[in-house]
Amino acid sequence: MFLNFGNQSKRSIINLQEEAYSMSIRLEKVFARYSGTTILHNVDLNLNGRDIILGPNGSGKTTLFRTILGVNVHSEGRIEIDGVDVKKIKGTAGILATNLDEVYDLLRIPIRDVAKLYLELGKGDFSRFLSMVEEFEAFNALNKRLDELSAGQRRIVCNLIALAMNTKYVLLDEPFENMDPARRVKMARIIMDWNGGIVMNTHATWLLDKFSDWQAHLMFHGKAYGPMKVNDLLDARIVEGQRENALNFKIRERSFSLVSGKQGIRLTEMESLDRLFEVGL
Amino acid sequence: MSILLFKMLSKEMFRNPYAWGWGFFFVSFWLIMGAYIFSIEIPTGLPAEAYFSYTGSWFSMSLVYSFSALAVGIVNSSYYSSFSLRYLTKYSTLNGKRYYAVSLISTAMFFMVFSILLEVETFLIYSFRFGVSLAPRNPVELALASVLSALFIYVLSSSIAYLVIVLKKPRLVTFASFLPLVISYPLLFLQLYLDIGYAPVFSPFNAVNSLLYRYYSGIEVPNGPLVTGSQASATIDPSYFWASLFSWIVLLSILNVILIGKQRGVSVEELRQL
Repeated sequence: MFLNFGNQSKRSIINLQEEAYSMSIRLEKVFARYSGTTILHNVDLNLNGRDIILGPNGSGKTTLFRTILGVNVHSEGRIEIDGVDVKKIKGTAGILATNLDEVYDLLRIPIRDVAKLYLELGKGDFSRFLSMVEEFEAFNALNKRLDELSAGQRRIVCNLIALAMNTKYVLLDEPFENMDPARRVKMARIIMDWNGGIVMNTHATWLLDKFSDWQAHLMFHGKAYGPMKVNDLLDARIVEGQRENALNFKIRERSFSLVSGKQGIRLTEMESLDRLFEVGL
Repeated sequence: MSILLFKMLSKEMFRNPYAWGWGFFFVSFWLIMGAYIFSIEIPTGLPAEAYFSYTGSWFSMSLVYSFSALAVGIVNSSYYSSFSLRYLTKYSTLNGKRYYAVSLISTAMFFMVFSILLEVETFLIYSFRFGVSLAPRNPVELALASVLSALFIYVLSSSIAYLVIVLKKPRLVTFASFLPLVISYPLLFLQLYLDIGYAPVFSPFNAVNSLLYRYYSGIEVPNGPLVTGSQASATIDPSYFWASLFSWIVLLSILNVILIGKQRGVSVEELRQL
């Protein structure tokens, strides 16, 4: 299906492009820490709403989301959402939603009530949430509290509440984690077809080919690398040691490089970037 | 929106089995002990005032302990929901002041239910035990005193929780949640048995205790040990207790609004440090 601009003038198309450029989540020289431990180190990112943050567990991806939200983490540097300093955002519905579990912990009540409350406060769409729940055959989760759900069910309902918020950007933390394969595919399809900005983080590399037109950022030990096109990552391989003209990064004092060619392990074959800790490449 | 929030907050509180267990059933057990075990030496045939004084002191202390037990839950839920609250006050139409007000009202209503249940229970048990009708003598004032007591316990508990969050001392939360309970025990027993002069006016727990005693029993609060009851030569004007309690609520409310604005929430990582 092609987009039909009809008689739209060239001028308005340029305006749309400019507007699209100014609409982003930008991080400049961001450091973040919890009680004295620095997690993010000098992170510069420009997220346009079709982004994947790729990194192994413990690399700082979730902290990055908390830092963007401006909740809990002590941060330095500048974070802007559509040009507005995140520290100045207050009582504004419709900008940002997330699937982080701890966001939905306000009250220990059944998920149906949690969703109703959050979607009313955030001006979201409760009926859309219910129709997505039906699609995932997760109705039995609605009468349970968040802490009573399995890890997979929890992930599904938090994803769905975040998406039903109808915000400009949705931050999805490991959106496929602990889900059965059929639901993973359903979730991937919803995210691919989503009509708003999505930034998701994951350590899984199996899904990269589904999001080939998205922008990727790698994250290791609290440092961000990129951006690059996911399409370019599909054939990329990881080799040990530093290579020239390649993206070099360190994991536990060992250097790795992301290269093209036939040496090393293909990123998509690793299934998860956590394997970098396990295998001596 | 506020109505939905009120409904959800109430739902959470009324469905909390720990609140019913510690705030109602445990306190009911002590009320029964007061009526049947600790009253063995109280003879029958005394003037009604003596029974009213005894019943009033048991009711007032029981209600303060019930509310202090409920405070443990308030501190914990305020602490654990701080991340969500921070998120909602940034990215939804909820603001800290509104949340605080709705939460305060729903808690007061929940506490009132406990207060009414304990009042009825006290009346039935103690009347049956002493063979005299021991219904509260000033029910309207008693209800108002209960509301004010509930508000005080709520503002105290939430300020403790937000102080722990703002000071970033997660390890203190368990200890801090028991503070109202730990403080109330010695203070109430001091007032019961010792002459501590006007000190109860300044201590909010004793002010609560005094007002509840005054309006249940209809006996003026003695300026001396509470056990002296109607025999006391000097009494304290209840308006002092009202003024003291009201001032505490206003002061702690201001502190709470400031702390809610300052707190940045507690992450899962910090909770794991507990």
